[in-house]
Formats: sequence, C-alpha cells, structure tokens
Amino acid sequence: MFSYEKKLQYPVKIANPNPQLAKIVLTQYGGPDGELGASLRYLSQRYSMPFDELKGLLTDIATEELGHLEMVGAIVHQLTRNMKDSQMKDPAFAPYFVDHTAAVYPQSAGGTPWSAATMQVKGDPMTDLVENMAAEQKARTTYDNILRLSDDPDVNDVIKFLRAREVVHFQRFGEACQLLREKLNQKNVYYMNPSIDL
Amino acid sequence: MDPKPNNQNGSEGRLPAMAPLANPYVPFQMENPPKYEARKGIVRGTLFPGLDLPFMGLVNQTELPITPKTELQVLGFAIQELALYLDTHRDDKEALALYRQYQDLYHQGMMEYTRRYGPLNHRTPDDSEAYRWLDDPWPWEYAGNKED
Repeated sequence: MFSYEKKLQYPVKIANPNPQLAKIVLTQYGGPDGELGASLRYLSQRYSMPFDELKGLLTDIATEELGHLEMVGAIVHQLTRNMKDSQMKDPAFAPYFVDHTAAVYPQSAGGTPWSAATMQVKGDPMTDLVENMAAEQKARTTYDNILRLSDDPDVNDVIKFLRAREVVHFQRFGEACQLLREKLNQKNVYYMNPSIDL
Repeated sequence: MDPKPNNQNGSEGRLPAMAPLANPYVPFQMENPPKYEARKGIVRGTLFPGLDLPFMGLVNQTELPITPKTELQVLGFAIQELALYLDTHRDDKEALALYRQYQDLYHQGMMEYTRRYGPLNHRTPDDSEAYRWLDDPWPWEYAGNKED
C-alpha cells in the first residue's frame, strides 16, 4: 500500500511566478517522458518481474518517481501563483489558462494530455528493463532541455536535482539487467521469457 | 560471471568478464564506493561522486537552510539513495550499516519534528490535543518553506 508523507523529497521554493516557464516544466508532470509515466510504468511492470531484486528496485524507483511528480507539480503550482492579468493573457499561457486556470493538469508542453501510449509494460523482464533505461535517458534529456530554456535559478536548482536522479536510476536499471542476465542461460539469454517460463 | 575491474581511468564500475552478445551493459558500481556527506549529496542529487554527472557544468551549490524539515529531507534522501544501491548490492555490509545509521537518525528527527510541528503521516504518534494533520502549509505551497 501507499501512504502520504507530508513533505517533499527536495525543497521547492520558487520566488518569481512565471506561467510561460510553468507550461514548459509541466511536460515533466504529464508529458511523454514525465514523472507520471515513469511511476506508472515501473509500478505496473512489477507484477511480471521475477527475482526479488527486480521487484524491490521497481517498487523503490516507482515510489521515488511519485515524489518527483509531486515536486514537478509544486514547481508548476508556484510558478502560476498570484498571476497578473498580463501573465494570464500571455499568448504562450492563455490557451492553458482557459482550460485549467492556475491548476496543474497532466499534459505535455505542447498540450497533449497524458497517455499510457507513451509507455510500455511488455511482460518480459529484459525488455522492460531496457525500456526503463531508455525512459530515464529521455527524462534526463528533457531536464537538460528545460535547463537550456530556463534562467530561473530557483527552478533550475530543483531541475538539476531531478535530472541527477534520472542518471542514478539509469545506473540501477543497468545493474538490474546484469543481475537478471546472471540468472539466465548464458549461451542464450533470450531462450525463454523468465516472467512466464520459470 | 566474474566481474572484471575496470578502474584504470578512475572509473568506479566494472564490466562482466563474460559478456553475451546482443545484451545491454552498464558497468556495475563497485562495492563500498566513495560517498558525499548527505547534505552535499542531496543538493547534487546523488550520494555518489561517480554518478554526479552534471549538464554543461551546471553544478548545484545550494546550501539548504538548516531546519528540522531539511534535516529530515537530507536523511530521507540518503536513505533512498542507499536503498536503491542496496537493491542491486545487497551484500555491501558498509552500505547496509550506513543505511541503518541514517534510519536511526531519521527516526529521532521525525519524532522531534512531529512534537514541534505536527505529524508527517497518519501513523506517527502525536500527543498534542489538536488534530494537527490539517495544519497549513502543505508541501507544494511556497509557504511550505517557512524556515522555522
């Protein structure tokens, strides 16, 4: 089960509202490589994972990603507080404002609502671990791109933290591939699907 | 499969000696790796210097204010980072001992935090007369950073 912890993993303290930037950062809330997809991907993959290390790692990274979802939501929320009329009417933000006011809605920076079509749960452990390594790299690149687009030091402080976590998660998924491989047929690790054939 | 040390160039990882083709390989982080002190680790986003790979030299130098809440965030971060490490390095006794030290410190800090500010979750005993769970601020709010 899950229970709520009433604190963020890392502090989010954004001094200056900036709705334009909020719409960019929002992509890591509900975009194709965002934290919602990350957490749901790993939570859903757990059921078909053999071996205790893989079950544990997916559970722990998925749980951390839910904390990152909350942090990204906090950035977006704080960037859209106390908006002036001119900020609501900014052509970059007005289309979001008319649908969601100053709320946090899971969509990409381009406006596409979050979709499970952006992730995969294939049911083969090596396939899913490689999917996750790719997912961590895609999220890292997205954070790199946010750092290029943003000059707000308060936002970038949190973005750099989240980006570093993607690198660590990539490392752990890579190690998980090795732990899995050691348990398979060394002459042909693709001999069968250990999720259903062991 | 015997791990093969691969640290000639200061790398902290090792690749397997036998490597079947058509497989992905990430060097396995070696046991008992160098670690930052936890308060530095959280702002870098990792406890491990070997995994600290910032974009375009953009390194976080933030000094978190020393408050009961950031103290818990620092300890909680160290626990999370060591948990992920232990998930793939379950036999590293030094990391396990450090993980347990941080757990003890977290537990003490959480009891003290709860006594002063209210519970962080519904299962923490809180002997105040009021139901303090609802007290503002909530974590996502700007006011949640009051340095009390």
